[in-house]
Amino acid sequence: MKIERVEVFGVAVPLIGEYKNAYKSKSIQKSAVVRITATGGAVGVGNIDPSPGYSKETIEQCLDMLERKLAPSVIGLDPTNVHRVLETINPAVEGFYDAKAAIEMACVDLSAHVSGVPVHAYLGGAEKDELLFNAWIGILPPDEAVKETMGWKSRGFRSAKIKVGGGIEADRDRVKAVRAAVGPDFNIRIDANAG
Amino acid sequence: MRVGVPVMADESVLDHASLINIIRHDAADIVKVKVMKQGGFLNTRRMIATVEAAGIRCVVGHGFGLGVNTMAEIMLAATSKNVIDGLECVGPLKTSDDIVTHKLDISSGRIALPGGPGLGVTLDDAKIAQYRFEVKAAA
Repeated sequence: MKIERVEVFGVAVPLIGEYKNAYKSKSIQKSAVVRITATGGAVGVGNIDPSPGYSKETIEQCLDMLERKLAPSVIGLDPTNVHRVLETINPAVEGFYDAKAAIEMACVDLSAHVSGVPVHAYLGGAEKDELLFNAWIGILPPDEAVKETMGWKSRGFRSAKIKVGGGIEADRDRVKAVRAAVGPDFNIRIDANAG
Repeated sequence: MRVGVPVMADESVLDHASLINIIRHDAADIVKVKVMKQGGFLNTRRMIATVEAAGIRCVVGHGFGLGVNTMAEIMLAATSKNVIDGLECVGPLKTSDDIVTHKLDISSGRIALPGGPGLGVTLDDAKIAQYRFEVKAAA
């Protein structure tokens, strides 16, 4: 089996509302989507969503590297030998882990597909039957943070990540208010990014 | 210096070398990994194994993923008990739409393990066309 085609798409999907962390506020998510087609029509997809300020390279840099260098470099390779694909893309450029991940993800998706198993089985097997998610609370005033967290709790969430990095007193007030509102049976994680 | 609250390393975790550095310096109680940030499934899964061997727990999840990246993290996280409950791959809660045919519904805070095959997602070509943007060539 050989990779015959690698499509790279830049997509910008609007977010519901605005999301603020220590770096910036955003209302749209710019992402890269990769589709690999191999011999016989086998398909695998990959996707990365770099965050401004957090990710080492911008989405524009990732898309450029994918289109110019990484995608062309894997044409003709066997997508089901992910090690060999990594041997090609890893040394192609320093860094750019996000962009490399998009290609690798598509190869793993394809490989698991042709084997007829989910990716978790391809990786050795699942140890969990159910996955729990963290609610996400941005840099908000305490009363808004409480309102949002209680909303998530009422929907069934058992934990939340609260963004901080907008001023130490404001951060303290936000976290304190949320803890007082949710009580002890709810996990709180705080995230300052590098702010 | 010890603080009373567990500390998680996130931006400082990139490749295996950076992870080993954190472990050697006893710099974190938890590390945050992402399929995207760590360069793919295989790298990330191996880093999760290293983390576990070091007696450190793991958090998985990029907060703004579209349906493909989000499913990738869900499936990866499912493969290790060392990944703490509270996945952070909650992009589907924030995005108004998606580029896969079935947008994940995680609004209740939990889902049953999806069954694939592969990632179990299909690209929606119409949505890709709708949201597509072109990168302007460098000057």
